[in-house]
Amino acid sequence: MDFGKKTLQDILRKKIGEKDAKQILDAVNDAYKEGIQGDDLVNLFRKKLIEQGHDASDSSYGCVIALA
Amino acid sequence: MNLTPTHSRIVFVYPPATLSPRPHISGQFNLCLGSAYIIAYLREKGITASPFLFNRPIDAAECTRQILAHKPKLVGFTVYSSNYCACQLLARYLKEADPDIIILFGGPTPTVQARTVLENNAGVDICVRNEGEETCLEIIASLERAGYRLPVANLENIPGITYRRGPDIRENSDRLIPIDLKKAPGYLDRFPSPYLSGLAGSPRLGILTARGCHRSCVYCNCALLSRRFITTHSIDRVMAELLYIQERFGPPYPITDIFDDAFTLIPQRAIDICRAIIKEKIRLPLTCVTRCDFISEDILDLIKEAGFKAVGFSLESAVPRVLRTIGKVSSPDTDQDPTFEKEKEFIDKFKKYVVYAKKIGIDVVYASIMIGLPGETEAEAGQTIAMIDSLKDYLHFYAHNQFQVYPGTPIFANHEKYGLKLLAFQNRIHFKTLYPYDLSRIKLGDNANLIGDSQAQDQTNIKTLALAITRKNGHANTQEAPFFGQLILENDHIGPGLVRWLQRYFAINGHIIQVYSNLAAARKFHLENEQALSQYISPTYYHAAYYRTPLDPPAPYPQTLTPFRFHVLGPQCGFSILLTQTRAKLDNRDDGKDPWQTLCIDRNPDDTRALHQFLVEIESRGTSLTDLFAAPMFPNFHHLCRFQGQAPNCRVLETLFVDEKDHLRTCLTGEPIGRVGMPFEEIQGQLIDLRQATAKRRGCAACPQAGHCAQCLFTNPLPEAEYCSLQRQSPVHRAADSLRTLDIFKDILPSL
Repeated sequence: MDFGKKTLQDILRKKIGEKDAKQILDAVNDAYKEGIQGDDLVNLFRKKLIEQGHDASDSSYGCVIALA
Repeated sequence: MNLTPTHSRIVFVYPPATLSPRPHISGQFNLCLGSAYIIAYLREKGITASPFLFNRPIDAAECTRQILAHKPKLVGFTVYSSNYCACQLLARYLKEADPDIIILFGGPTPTVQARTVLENNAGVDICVRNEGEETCLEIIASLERAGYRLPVANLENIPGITYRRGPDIRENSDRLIPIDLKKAPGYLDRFPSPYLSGLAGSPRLGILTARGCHRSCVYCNCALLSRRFITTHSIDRVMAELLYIQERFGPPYPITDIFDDAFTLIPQRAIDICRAIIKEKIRLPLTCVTRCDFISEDILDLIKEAGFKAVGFSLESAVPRVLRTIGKVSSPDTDQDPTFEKEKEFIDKFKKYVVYAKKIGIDVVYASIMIGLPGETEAEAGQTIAMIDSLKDYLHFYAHNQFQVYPGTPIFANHEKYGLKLLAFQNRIHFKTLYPYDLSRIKLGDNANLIGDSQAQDQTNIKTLALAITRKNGHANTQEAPFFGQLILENDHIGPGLVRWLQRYFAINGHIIQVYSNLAAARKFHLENEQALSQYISPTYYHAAYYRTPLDPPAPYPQTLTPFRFHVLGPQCGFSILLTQTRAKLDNRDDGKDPWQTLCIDRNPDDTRALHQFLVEIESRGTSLTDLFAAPMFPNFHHLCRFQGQAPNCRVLETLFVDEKDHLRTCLTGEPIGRVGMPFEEIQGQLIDLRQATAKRRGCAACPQAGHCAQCLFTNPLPEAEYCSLQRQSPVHRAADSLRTLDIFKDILPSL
């Protein structure tokens, strides 16, 4: 099933490190198995990121972003 | 002034209008700092005031009902140009539901355009100009005395308001505060803290240590609104708020934004605050914006020691003459310093302090610039980008903005002098700035925020096109939601009929994705369509535009959807969505095309069979998220929902497609389920009938897969009997559901 080499796990590892990525993915996977879906799952993902001290905010540090 | 406790209810509403590419926050009604201050102040005075909070998307009718449930006497709106239409719509609905409710608009737009706001909106009674705490208190006191009968309330002596009296619009004098009073340290402490008063339930509100700005920038109205005066909180009050946030919301300690116009405008005060933070051992990761002419290495050292995680420097332009024109450093009217020495010094300091801030270990150092500034040439815009690029090792990112002329700013009156034109929309609130040269020709710097943000927005939009349902409506069971939240518009023209229909049945700040037939159509109609959304009062301003482009050489499904954004912001801003037939992609998986930018569509039965077989393959390899996160990334499948266990879009109705004949569909290959203008309940009713008839025809009640089958209503291009056969013989709902779950992370991960 090879669509290329990039994986979501790689992206996450690159951003937050292998250990933190594993912990977060395990937590998300457990929640998913318990039936948590959609935005609730994303919110859990963000919460875990913040708990580990990563920036999961939507803030662009006060900058106004205008996209067409 | 203190009022006796009252049962009068005052509700403050801040309709969402984020243009953020992160959609999960886009539908929420949150507290904003401005109204939080007012509410805290009113409560201290014994008035029952509260914010309207709602944590999931909602349509205007339901929102009106929810606000009315508070039984308000007065509803106040925080109004920006970006959420103006939603404010208009809600104000109108509230007034129609209860003509006795008094509607008040405050915030930046009513402050500078109060008369226009009142002329535009018969339902709005009062506009509050500038800071609102004391003005709101006086309005409420007057209304209390009049038994909330607006026509007899004495508003004549309340400074800082513009209001309706019979057929007239009356504009009272500005609220002027004696300088001696304003300049007292801690003047702002008269207003209770949204945090310490228990109102703010989240640190994301940020804090203010001071209000106002004393500079002369011609593009900004911060200084104008504050009459170039800075009022401050005491250091003790700032520390009390920060300690509260630290104890209430941490650990882990939340990023806390200091939203002062520029934190170091009074350098000694910034020093005192940093020293107090260090002394109090506050460990919050703080952020602030500063100016390089009001900072030093010593202050940056203190900022670092105080735990600031991010510091932003506003540059705007690297061209001294342009800086003078916009009044960034010296007033544009000054007859001194004809060689722009101060501006040159400003630019040198910018470079010096950006490098220094990074060197001492501040995590996120960023800058903001604008292109299209008054008097700026294309080459000069390029100069600014080149300078930013030269600092890219030190800048985490830079905010790449296109200059906009806003009402109320000094440049609004004389923009034509610089070759700029303003196109006024019919409501005279929204304006489009037209530049003397094509800004999209300016190549963005490597670390422009727009690059990542645009990609995230395209990821969001491809996810929407793939019908990756997120249950944003908050209704797990489908037919309950009386509105939809995402619209794919497959025609070129937005007319009043569509917008008025959206008013009734579309989420406030829902997502419109318009797919123009070609570039020429996009160029011809896009601005017109933006004007239509404004003029006819759309509940949303999220309007992403793409146009169809044939591929050369032709591919199996010979089209891409190209963001029209490329022609506004530049071709680096986002990506074209490649439409391909499902089987072609699955037969040639490693074709060099980014799967995340690919949308697979079933055009013939073999496509659907290939998709099913692919899901069988995943089922056999493992469907846990851990497995799938570790697998190479998958493309987006428009027809995945027909195999998932969760309810598909034809049952949830989260996204609707509108074609050029105004027919409504739930997917690209579905049959029409109605037309624009039809009541949503009628559409839902028809779908319920269709579901029942389909289930009966297929024998779903006796099917062993009934509990897991999506029961897709429109199995095209696959024959219905074959669809049922595949579902019964090789159920793949676990794989489909897991892929869907991966979809929801696609726009988040790259932008972290």
